[in-house]
Amino acid sequence: MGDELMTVLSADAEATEANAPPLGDRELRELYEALVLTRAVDEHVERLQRAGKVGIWAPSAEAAPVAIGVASALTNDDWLYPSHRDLGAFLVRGGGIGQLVAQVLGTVHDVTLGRQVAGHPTLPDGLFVPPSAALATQVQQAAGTAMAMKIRGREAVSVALCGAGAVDQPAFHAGLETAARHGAPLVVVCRSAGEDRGGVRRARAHGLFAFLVDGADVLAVLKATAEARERALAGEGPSLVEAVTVPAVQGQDTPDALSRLQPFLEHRGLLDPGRIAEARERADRKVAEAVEAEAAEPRPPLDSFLDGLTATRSWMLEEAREALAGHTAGTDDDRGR
Amino acid sequence: MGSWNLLQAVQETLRAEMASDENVVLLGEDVGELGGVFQVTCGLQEEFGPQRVIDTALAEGGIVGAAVGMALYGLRPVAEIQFADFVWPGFEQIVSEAARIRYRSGGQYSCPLVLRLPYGAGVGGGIDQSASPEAQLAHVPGLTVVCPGGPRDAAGLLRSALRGEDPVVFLEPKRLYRDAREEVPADETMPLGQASVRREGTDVTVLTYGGMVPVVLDAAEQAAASGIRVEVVDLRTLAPVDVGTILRSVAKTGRAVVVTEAPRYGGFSGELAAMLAERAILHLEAPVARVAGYDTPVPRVFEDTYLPDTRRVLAAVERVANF
Repeated sequence: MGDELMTVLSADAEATEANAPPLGDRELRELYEALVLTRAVDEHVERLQRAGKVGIWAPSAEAAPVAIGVASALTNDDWLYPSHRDLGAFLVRGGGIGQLVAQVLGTVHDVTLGRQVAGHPTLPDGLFVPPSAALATQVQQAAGTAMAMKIRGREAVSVALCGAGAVDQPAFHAGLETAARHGAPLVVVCRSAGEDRGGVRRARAHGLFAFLVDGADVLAVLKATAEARERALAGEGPSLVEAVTVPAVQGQDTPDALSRLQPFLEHRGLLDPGRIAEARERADRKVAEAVEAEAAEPRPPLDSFLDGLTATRSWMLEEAREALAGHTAGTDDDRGR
Repeated sequence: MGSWNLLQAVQETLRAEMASDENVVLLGEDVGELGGVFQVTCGLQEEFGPQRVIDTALAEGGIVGAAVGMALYGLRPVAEIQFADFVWPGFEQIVSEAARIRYRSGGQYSCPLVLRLPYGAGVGGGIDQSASPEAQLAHVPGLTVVCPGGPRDAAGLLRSALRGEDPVVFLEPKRLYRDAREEVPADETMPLGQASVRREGTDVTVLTYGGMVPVVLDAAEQAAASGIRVEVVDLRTLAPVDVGTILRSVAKTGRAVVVTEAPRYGGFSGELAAMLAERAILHLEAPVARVAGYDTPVPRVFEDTYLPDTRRVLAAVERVANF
């Protein structure tokens, strides 16, 4: 495996049907809606960014077919270590749009209390491990979790998502080597821009099974991830899925994940031009409503940033609370407390 | 319970905790079959199996990263880095990941791991196997940094670290591994963040930790012969350090010497001196003195000169006492 590009979605609906992973109508519709919603999130956050309400932001729509395809292949016992462009997976794994927007705007409803850069939400219990901006650290952590799953005899896999640049990082290599050496149930899914097969080459060097898939084909990503997962659960060791994406070029209309998936759903009778427009409007409204609801919400309480660094608060942070109260006495921060 | 040196105290504590908590796993370079570069984990793989005493690839970033992933999943990993000098490839996982995950997840995740770092000079390790990186580590918000100065403390502090809820860096003074034995009670825990007054005195406080503790105790003994009563405070935890015990002691003696083997410039000794300047200036009868390593890497054939010894500590104590 890994030499030929795996695709499922093609212009020939019958061929697609024959290749597709076994998905019901509802599941197909959910995949489609997640793609549409991720795109709507990008559009709204970019607007907020232009309005000066959001700082650093990494768009997620381009990576969405990979993130969504991967997340849709997992059960709730599987752990997912996302990169910073995998909001599609957040939505599939149960993250609400309200929670996401609260995180992006850093309001009082953000469970991470406005600490993380916009677009780094989290879900508990391994559903969406909080991403960091450090490249590939999650690959090695996912390998550690995979080892822990094996030690505990769990029927689950640990999955790391990463971008093209991550494959050059020591942590990427360490993660692959660790998992291969210990036969741990790890699945690494890396996006790659172009055809150099950087992920596949590295996977083979470490003795991992490798899949090369079309990264704009959400069904191919889902199928490869599901196969990698089955291999891991069967004790056949870790795998890597390299998802080849075509980078967007300004002014050119590259075939995106939605236009790849739409014909198949139309063939199944799940979509028509009316319903496509309706789905886009619904997603847009959903995000717009969440933005409207959160925009007026305050930041988390000021002294919350001194909480929860460790289970027990150190004396330094006790003192810092007093100092903070002194620094902010009589200021807007104080009045908003 | 046993009469153990520091190495045995660490080993027996790991053994006991592994026996009582199946979530405790060890990982590192050659910690299994070979028992670790200093033999600290000798025999543990035989006893607990290769799934719980794991020989890893020789990649420190990988070791710490794997420990993070295990800790997030609910295990209690103990990762050994062969020499503290080799921790730097793992530093990203320590600083950006282990120490921050609780904070950045708003408490949805925690990372209870112990990172064992044999540190310090005194065993002929030369420039690359003798470092004392406590300042870099203590500077990281979210890390607890522990450094025992004897077998009993090593056992009690390690046990607390293993039962804790957050990442702990456990600095083991390798020059004390096979030094003096001590009676170590079974199942004793010692709270992290509490210093220990190793010797009471009224004239000069010496603040120290780890491999310098026996040197300072020796100097205190010699100072007593010339009539200077030295109080020796073994900090035991460097982050968060026990500011209460430090201030109580200096309020009593009015004079302080800080002894570390790490380089002086930008060192943890500076944090202690600053703390005294900020909080104890009205008690001080003399400037705070620092006795430290030189601002170079540790030169192998001159390491006895590089390391603070009884003579240098005694000279600083006398200088401060007679100011």
